[in-house]
Amino acid sequence: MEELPSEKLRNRCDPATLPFRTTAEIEDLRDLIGQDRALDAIRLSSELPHRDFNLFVLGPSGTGRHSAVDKLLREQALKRQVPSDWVYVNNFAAAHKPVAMRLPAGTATTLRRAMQDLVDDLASDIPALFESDDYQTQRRAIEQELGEAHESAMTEFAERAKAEKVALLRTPMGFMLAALHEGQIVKPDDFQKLSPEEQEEIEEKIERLQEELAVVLREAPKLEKEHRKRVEDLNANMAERAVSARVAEVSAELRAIESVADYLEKVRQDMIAHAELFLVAASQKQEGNFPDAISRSHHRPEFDRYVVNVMVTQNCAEDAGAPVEGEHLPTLDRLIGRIDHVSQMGSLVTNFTMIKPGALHRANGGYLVLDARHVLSEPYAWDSLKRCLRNQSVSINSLAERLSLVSTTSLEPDPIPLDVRVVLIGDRMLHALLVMLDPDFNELFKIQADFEEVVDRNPDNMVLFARLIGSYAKREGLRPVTAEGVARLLDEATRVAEDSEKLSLRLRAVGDLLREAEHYAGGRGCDNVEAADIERAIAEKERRSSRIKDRMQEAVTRETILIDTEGEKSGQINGLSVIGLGDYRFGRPSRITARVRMGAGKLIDIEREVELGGPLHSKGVMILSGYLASRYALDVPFSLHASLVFEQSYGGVDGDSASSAELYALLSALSDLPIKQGFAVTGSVNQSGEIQAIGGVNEKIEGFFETCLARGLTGDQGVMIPKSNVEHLMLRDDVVQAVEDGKFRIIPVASIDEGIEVLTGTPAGVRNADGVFPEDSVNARVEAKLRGYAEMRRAFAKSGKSGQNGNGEDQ
Amino acid sequence: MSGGRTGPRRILVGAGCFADARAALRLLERLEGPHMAEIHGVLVEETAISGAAMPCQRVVTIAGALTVVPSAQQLRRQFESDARAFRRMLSEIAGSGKWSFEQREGELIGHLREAARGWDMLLVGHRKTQPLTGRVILIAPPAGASPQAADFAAELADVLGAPVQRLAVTPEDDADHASAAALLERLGRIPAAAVVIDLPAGGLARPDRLQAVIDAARCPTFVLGPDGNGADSGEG
Repeated sequence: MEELPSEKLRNRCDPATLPFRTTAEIEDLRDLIGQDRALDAIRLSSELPHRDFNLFVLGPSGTGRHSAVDKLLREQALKRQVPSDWVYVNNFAAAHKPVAMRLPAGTATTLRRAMQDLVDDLASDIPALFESDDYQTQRRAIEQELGEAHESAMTEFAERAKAEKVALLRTPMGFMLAALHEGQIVKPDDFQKLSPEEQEEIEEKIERLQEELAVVLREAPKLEKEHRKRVEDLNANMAERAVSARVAEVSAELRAIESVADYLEKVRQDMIAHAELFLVAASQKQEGNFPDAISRSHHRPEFDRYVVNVMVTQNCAEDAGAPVEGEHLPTLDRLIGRIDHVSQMGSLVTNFTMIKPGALHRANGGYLVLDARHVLSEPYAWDSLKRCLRNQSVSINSLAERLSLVSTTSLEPDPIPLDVRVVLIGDRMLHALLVMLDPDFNELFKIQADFEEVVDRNPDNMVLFARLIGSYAKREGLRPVTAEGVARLLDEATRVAEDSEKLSLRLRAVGDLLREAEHYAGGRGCDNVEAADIERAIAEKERRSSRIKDRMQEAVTRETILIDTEGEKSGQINGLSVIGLGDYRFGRPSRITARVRMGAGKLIDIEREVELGGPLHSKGVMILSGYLASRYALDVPFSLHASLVFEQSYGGVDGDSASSAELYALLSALSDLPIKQGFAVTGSVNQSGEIQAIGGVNEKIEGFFETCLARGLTGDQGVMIPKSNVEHLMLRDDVVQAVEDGKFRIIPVASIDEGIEVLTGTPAGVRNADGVFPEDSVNARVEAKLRGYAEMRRAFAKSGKSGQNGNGEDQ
Repeated sequence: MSGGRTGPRRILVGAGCFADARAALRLLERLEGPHMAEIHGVLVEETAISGAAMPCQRVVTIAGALTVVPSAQQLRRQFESDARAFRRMLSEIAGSGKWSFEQREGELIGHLREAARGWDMLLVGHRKTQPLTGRVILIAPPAGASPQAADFAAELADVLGAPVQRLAVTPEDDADHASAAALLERLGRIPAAAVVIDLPAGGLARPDRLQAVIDAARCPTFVLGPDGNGADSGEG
């Protein structure tokens, strides 16, 4: 079998092919490369005026999703009209339902200032007006007029009574009328002495006058009511003069806005009706350091009813466009706004001035960029966001109110119409889950921008990538990178891509590496970042992350973990696995063993039996069973009982990349042909015996290389990999060097037959025209063993000993 | 209006029932606050009331309702109740100051004039029949009121937030009947918060004239210098 030459093990970028000496010489590149599909999707979503074409940007982190979204949205925002301002004002008819008012962009703060000035002015004007001689005179005139009317009626009554010789007496209960005779009150005894006519006359007189007095006295409450009404009318007239004059002073520009004009008229009427607020405020004014003329009465709580609560106001500069907003903590409140409360006398109270805007208010008319995971992890935030998008309006509902956690006065503010393009940024798993589990998602987020992870490693892209590196260095204020340094970065990007024909687009990782390298270059006093600096940054990163790997390697070297790297053994092989810790991955060898005997066709995966094996691993093992059953001794029952295990594996095992190794171990056990322990094997296998590509091939090879290196390279050691993984090779220089020196081998295989030949040194064998494998070939030996098991099983069954052998197998 | 205080005073408050006394005491409370030197209350049970009941007679309440005339026993009980209320309110207003109270029986003004000898001021209680604030009426001879009376009227007006209106009273020696009637006619048609009479200045020394003025005013009436020796004893 052909070993791979060293030049196939690593794709090296030749610095001479790069058209610059350092990145200082090359043109900036602000755009992403290889992301045309995603960028077009972002552009489309930002340009479409229709609802529900919200965008989900998916892809791995570090691929420039946020910066690309931000850049494209800001470009498009400049082309869009600056949206309206929004304010909440008092609803004078129903205070618990604040009124949302749309204003031309940039006028919200002007209106707010105008209202503050109006209140301040009237706080001076109205008290002065009510203290004026004019007002006092008019008020006294009313009092005089009504008072005199009553007193005159009483006086006239008293005169009538006196004329009829009747006295008006005051008693503790009220007034009493008594007849007079010669200036003296007629007593009951004297009354009885009068003639019946005189008695009747007095009685008639007294009764009549009593009724008249009652009528006069009953007028008193009506008098008070009339007085109150006329004073209120007077107050309203006085206040109307002051208020109307000041409202008329509000700038014509504001009054020309229909909604503002309507609002000002309501304010005018309310101020006239509540002129006493200004009088109370004046009476409570504290003597301070500032004269009245510059006092700020609008800060007083009684004037909150005239506050203009600015929810959002736009920047009206010439270069301003629609807003592009983000919210790093998208809680429900921060997303849709909230209504604050304050404690007063032990109760929580609120009013429209305590309505606070959320991200949706700020982004209204433009774009809102959110991290999908953050939105989904905040209680009710996702639900509320969807509702706002569906209803195309922002309604503020507190979580406490929604869950009925508190019972207090709250508000029902007008919903504010919403015209916003929401951009969610998340990973592919999240996107897939939303597509599957949330029926609203596809309705509301009709566009997806899927970021590529890799781009072809061709000369054009390499130059573009170099320009990206140069732009990044300039933007971050880093030293220029030499062509050699860029070449090394490109190679590292290829290694991260796990494909010698690709470049990774995880630009953040490249940026991190470059910044660290720049630090080392600075330490060396060098003007440029060179390949050595990049190399050191890579090595240092590896060193920082490799503690666990080193400890594992040490355990292998000290034979705490048993791995053979020399000799031959039947039913035993070195498999390879990858351990990932964050963004750091490394490979390690594992001993896989297989044991066989006669049975009923059962292949036991010990990992699976003890629930250490994942579903993919189990699938791989079942494929082995299918391969064996369909390839060998087809005319007899499959009478194998075999067990497979990852020795000294105490964690979970998943993936099928070891399935070919397991099959080799089985074939070795069945054929009694030992496997060379200097090899490690990776690759999955299908039921036809073809070896399939696996992931992490570089880490796996390097993992076994380090084990062999620690024990001393013999030249017979190597790794057998799937042929289809050859183009993914981007091995470390020390591995490549070892191969070049003939101390290590990388052998690609396409089938099990190829692999078993390498491992055992025995031909696999192909069936001849009679359907028979060549004698002593691996396959012939395996078939013979399986046929032998079948014969043994038949003989065993005939002997009638079935069920007595105690092996507990299914028959 | 000067509006300045004229110093602690010794005041006698008199009324025929607690309803009248209360109107006076409330006014006094607003006017004097803690500055009173001494206060004396006199409740006079007017005998004319109990002797005036006839079969057709009713009491017209201040609200304009007609009710039966109380019996003599009921009047007696009411008088005792009024006395207790008068005493209680008097003590509340006087606070830690000196106060006293007495009950009398007979004709109101006569008893009050007699009891007021040696006091700075007599305040005759009278409930108002209408709710408006009205004016402070200063009654003095045409030559003008004494400075003390003018200052007191101004102080009272300031406290009540009312203007002062002066009415002239002709000295009794040369009084003609028409002039006195005109005063009463005018006074009866003015909504008054309180009346201030500068008695030593002359014109109202006769009890019947004073009674007529109080009846016409239908509000609490301050009589300065009630013993006819001037109202200057309130100074200092």
